[in-house]
Amino acid sequence: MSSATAAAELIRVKNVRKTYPDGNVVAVDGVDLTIEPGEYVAIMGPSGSGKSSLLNLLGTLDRPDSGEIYFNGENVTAMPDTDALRAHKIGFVFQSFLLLPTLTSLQNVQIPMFEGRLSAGQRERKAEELLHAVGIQHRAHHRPAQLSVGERQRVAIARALANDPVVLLADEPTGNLDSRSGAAVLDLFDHLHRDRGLTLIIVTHSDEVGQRAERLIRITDGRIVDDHRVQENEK
Amino acid sequence: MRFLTLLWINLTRRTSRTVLTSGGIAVAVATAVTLLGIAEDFRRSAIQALSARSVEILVVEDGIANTMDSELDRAIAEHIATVPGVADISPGLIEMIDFTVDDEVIPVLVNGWLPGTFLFNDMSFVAGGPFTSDERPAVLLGDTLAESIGKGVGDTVRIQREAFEVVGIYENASSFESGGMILPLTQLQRAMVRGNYVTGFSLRVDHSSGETDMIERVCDRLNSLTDENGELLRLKAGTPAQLVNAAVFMKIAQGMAWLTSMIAVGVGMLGMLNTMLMAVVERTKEISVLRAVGWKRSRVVSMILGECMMLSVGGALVGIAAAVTLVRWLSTLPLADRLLTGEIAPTILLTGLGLSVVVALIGGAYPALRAAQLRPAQGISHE
Ligand SMILES: Nc1ncnc2c1ncn2[C@@H]1O[C@H](COP(=O)(O)OP(=O)(O)OP(=O)(O)O)[C@@H](O)[C@H]1O
Ligand SMILES: [Mg+2]
Repeated sequence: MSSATAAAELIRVKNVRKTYPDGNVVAVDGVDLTIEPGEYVAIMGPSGSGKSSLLNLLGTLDRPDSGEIYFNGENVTAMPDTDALRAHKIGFVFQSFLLLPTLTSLQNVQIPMFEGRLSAGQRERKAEELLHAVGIQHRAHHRPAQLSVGERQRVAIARALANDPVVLLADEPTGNLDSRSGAAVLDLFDHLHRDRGLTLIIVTHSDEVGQRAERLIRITDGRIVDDHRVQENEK
Repeated sequence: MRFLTLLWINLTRRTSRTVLTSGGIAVAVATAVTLLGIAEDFRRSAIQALSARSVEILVVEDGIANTMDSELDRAIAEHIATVPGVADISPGLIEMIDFTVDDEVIPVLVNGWLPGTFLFNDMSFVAGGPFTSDERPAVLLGDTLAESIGKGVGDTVRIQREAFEVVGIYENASSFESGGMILPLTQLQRAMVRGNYVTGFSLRVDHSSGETDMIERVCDRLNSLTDENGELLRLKAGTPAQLVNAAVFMKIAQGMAWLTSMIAVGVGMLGMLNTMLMAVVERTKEISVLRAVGWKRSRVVSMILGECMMLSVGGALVGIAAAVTLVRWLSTLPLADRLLTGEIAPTILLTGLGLSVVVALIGGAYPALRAAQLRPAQGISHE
C-alpha cells in the first residue's frame, strides 16, 4: 500500500471473514472495503445478510476470524486492545441504543468521557452542549425509561459524539422511529456530516437513508454485491 | 458527573442488597474491633499495672509458659543485687485466690510485697495506709474489691483459714490492682505454703551512667546470671511490656480475638463476593456497553472494586461506631469495672478499617476480573 492511498483512507477492510460458531453461520464472507475520511456511507441488505456483523467489525467491537482491518493505516486486528480507538476515534449508535437504565440522559452522555481528560464539571458542560446539539436538552434529567424511542435515539447519538470521534457508526438508527423522528435524526446526520466533517457509516433498511448518503453498499449473504456513489439525480 | 457518583448510583439501584451486604460487613468489623479492642485494652491495663510503680525490669523464672507459675528462691535477690546497674530490688509473690462473695466465687489476684519497698512509693490510699511489718497478718485491699466484699479498715478478711486485718484501702486506675489485695510477703508465703519462694523480682535501674540502653544491658546481664558455682540461674528479665506481651494468657486472648475476627471477616467477604458476582452477572450487558464505548478493562475493574470499597468501608464505619458504643457500654458493667477502660485504641479502629479494605479487594477481585473479561460485542449482538 502506497503512502498516498494511506493518507486518503480512514478505514480499510481486507478480505475479512466472520463466522459464528453456533449454527456455523458465515456472517461476513471475504469483504474488501475502503472508507475515506468525510464519506457518508449507507450499508443496505436483507435481514441476516451480515450488516450488523460488518459494522461491529468496523467499530472494533468484534474481531474477524481472518483478514485485516486498518484504521488510519494501523492494523487494528493486530492490536491487543482497541479500547482507546473506540473511546476517542469511533462513535457507535447501537440498534437498540443501549443506554444505561439507571442514568439520566446527561449522565449517559458523560459515560465515554471518563476515558478523556475532562474534569467532572467540564464533562457535565460538554454533555449539556451535546444534548443541545441533538435537540434534547429539555430531557437532560430523565432516565431512558422516561423517554420516547426517538428521544432515546438522540441521547444515544449524543453519547456517540461524546469524545469527538472521527467516524460515527450507526446500526439502523431510524429503524425504531416513526417517519417524522426518523427524518429529524437524518437531518441531524446531514448536519454532522456537512458542518463537522464527520465520517458516517449507517446500516439501514430505509431507502430514504440510502438516498441521503453519498455512497451505497449492498450486502447479501455476507458479501458486497454492489458499491456505488449515489448520483445527484438519485437523491 | 464524578466517577464516585456513578458508583453510588450503581449501589443504590439495589438498595436492600447493598444494605444487607454492607450490614454483614458492619457486623464482621464490629466483632473484630470489639474483640481486638478488648484484648488490646486488657494488654494495656496489664502493662500499665506493672509499669505504674516505676518498675523498669521484671525478673521471673526462665523456661516456663505461664509467668504466674514462676518460682524463684527469694535468696536470688542477693545475686541480682550484684549486677551492675541494678538500683533497687523488690521481691513479689503473686497468687490467684478464690474468694466467695455473695455465694459467688471470684478469682482475686493477691500480691505479697515486703513492707517499705519502692513498690509502695506512689500508691494512693483512700483509707488507712501501708503495712509496716512483715510479721503481722495485715492486708491492703483494692478499692473495687473492698467495695464488692464490703470490707473497710479494721475489718478482717479470711485467706486460707487465716484472718488478716484490713489496714488500708488503695485505689488504682488498673483493674488488676483495684480488684486485688496486697499482703506482707512472708504472710502470703506462709498462708500459701510457699516456703521462701517468690514469683519474681521488680527492679529499678540506675541511670546515672547516662547510657540510653541501660535497661537492655541490665536485662542481658540478668539473663546470663550464674550462681557462685557458675551454674546459670535461669532468669528471664524484661520490661513489664515485654513480659506481658510474652505471657501465654495474653497470647491466647489475642489469638482468640483474631481467630474469631477472621471468621467474621471471612463471612463478610463471602457476602461481598456473592453480591458483586450477582451484580456483574446482572449487569453483563451494561458492562459490555461500557467496554463498547471505549472503557478500558482497568476502568471496569476500578468500577467494580470501587463499589466493593464503598460497600465495605461504609459498613466498616457503621461497625466501628457500633463497636465503640458497645465497648463503652461494656466497661460500665460492674463485671468489667476497671478491667476495661472503655476506650478502643486508635490502632484497632484503623485495623477495622484496614480489614474492610482487604474484604473489598479480596471479595471484589473475582467479580471485577469477570467483569473485565466481558467483551464489547457480548451485550450488543442478539438483543
Ligand atoms: N452472536 C451471534 N451468534 C450467532 N450467530 C449470529 C450472531 N450474530 C449474528 N449472527 C448470525 O449472523 C448472520 C448475520 O447477522 P447480522 O446481525 O449481521 O445480520 P443483519 O444484516 O444485521 O440483519 P438485520 O437486518 O436483521 O439486523 C445472521 O444469520 C445471524 O443469525
Ligand atoms: Mg442488524
